[in-house]
Amino acid sequence: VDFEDFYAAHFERVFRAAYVSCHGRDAALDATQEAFERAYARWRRLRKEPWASGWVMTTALRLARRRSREVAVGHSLGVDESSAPETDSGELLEALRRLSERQRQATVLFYVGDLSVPAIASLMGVSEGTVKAHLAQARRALRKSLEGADV
Amino acid sequence: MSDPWDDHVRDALGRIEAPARPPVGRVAQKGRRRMWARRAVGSLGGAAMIAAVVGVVGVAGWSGVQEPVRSSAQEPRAISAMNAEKLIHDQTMMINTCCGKRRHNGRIRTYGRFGGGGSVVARGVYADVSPDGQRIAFARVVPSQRIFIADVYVADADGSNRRRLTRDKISYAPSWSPDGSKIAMIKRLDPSGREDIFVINADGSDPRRLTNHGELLWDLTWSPDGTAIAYVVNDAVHVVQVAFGESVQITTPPERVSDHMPSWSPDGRHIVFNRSFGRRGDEVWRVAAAGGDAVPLTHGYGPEYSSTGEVAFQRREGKHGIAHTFILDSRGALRRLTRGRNDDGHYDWAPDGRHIVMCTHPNMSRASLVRILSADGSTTANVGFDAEVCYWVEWEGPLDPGG
Repeated sequence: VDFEDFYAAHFERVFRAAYVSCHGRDAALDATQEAFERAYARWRRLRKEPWASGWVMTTALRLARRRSREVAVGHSLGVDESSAPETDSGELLEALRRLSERQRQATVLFYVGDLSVPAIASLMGVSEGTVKAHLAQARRALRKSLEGADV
Repeated sequence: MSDPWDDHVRDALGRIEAPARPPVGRVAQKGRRRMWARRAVGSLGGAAMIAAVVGVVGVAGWSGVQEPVRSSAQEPRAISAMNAEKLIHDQTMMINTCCGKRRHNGRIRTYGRFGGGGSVVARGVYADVSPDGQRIAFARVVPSQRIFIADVYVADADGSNRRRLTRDKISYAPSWSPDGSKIAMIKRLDPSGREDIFVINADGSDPRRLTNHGELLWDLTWSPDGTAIAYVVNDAVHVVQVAFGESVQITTPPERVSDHMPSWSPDGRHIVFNRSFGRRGDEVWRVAAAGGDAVPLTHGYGPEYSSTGEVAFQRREGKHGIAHTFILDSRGALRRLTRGRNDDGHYDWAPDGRHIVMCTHPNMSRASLVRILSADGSTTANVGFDAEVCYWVEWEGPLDPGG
């Protein structure tokens, strides 16, 4: 697979995954771009992996999370890190952001990445049972949040 | 698997508008800088790395039972493909490949006397071999649909005489009863994604609803005598009596803990299962099939009883979390079956309880290799297989003491 084609094919999905994990489009875009840079640096090995997009997505999620924390620290120190307002946050995004990090990671890889449970288990370095548990718990929490919000 | 509620979530996330893509040249340029930085660190940091590794050796292990792990003294002796074929003998080994996408049907290949000689005999997911090794059941999903559509099919192990067993478009995860007369399956009953277990005769007659949960279900497993089915709902293992449809919850995981992957002991008295503690990892537990206090056995996941009463399971080890396979024998002694950089995937015991077939990923890649290992770790053989991703393996068939 050519990196340029890979980048074009997966950019939007990876951005969506990152956006779910952090507040702000700028931070999500930064995380997405850095995840692809890291993928480029490993491309010779990564190109053979059927789940290369999952790797980039997992990396973007981690980076987005880190940026979120940095922004939160910036806010607490009074630093103005304002970014463009969220265009379509919605109840679902808010509910997703309230999940634990691992639950959110599994959920995003499942729904946005469209990956199978074994693929997610492999990427997260956990068992399939753990992934299923994360997904089931996240589904319950999301359902509860959305039904509570009458969405 | 997907349901309409999943589709709602997927659609909502799909509506997040992505910004314009930064030029690929910029990404590549920064990527190259990272690559050079990595190489520089790699060449300079060797000594520091060794020191760091030495520093972390001695990390405390699992706090439960003390586990002297007995390893094979030497690497397993490789045996030839011909001998591997001989091992399968008049049984059937099945490989279900998969793919990154959940809604695609994988390839089903079979080996052995009744099998298709390793060729693709069907396309589907959730493939299950009948206990006599002569038939397969599987689900076929319709990949292009927005909602979940699947039906259960049966065929001879070589792919011939294929027959669609359900026509309701909501059935998947078929599982043969030990005598091969019935097939249990999960049906997704309404648009909100409620599921329950149904049993149907292998000829398609007499479908019967067994449970009334209306929740997501996983991991159907028949008891050895065929009177009960263990399964997972709401993070707990349940057992339902096939004759009466009476369901009992037999494990009670604490909050934020979930139980999965039940496996019956050969005498049907116990069930081992995977207890997941989230970040704290997984443990193998055992509980009486009638319910009662569950006890931890060891850390690891994906336990599976052999016909001789040994329990195989896997653990992720090292900083890369490579999965390796272990066996807990009936006296509680632990022995390691695999080591090194091969990342072990799904496995199944041979009917004789003396061999294991396994999907493994050489050198941590996603490429797959199917290996047969003797349970004492003494021999190994690779089964011919190409670069597809091996997702599920099964080994079924009659026991033949002379074989």
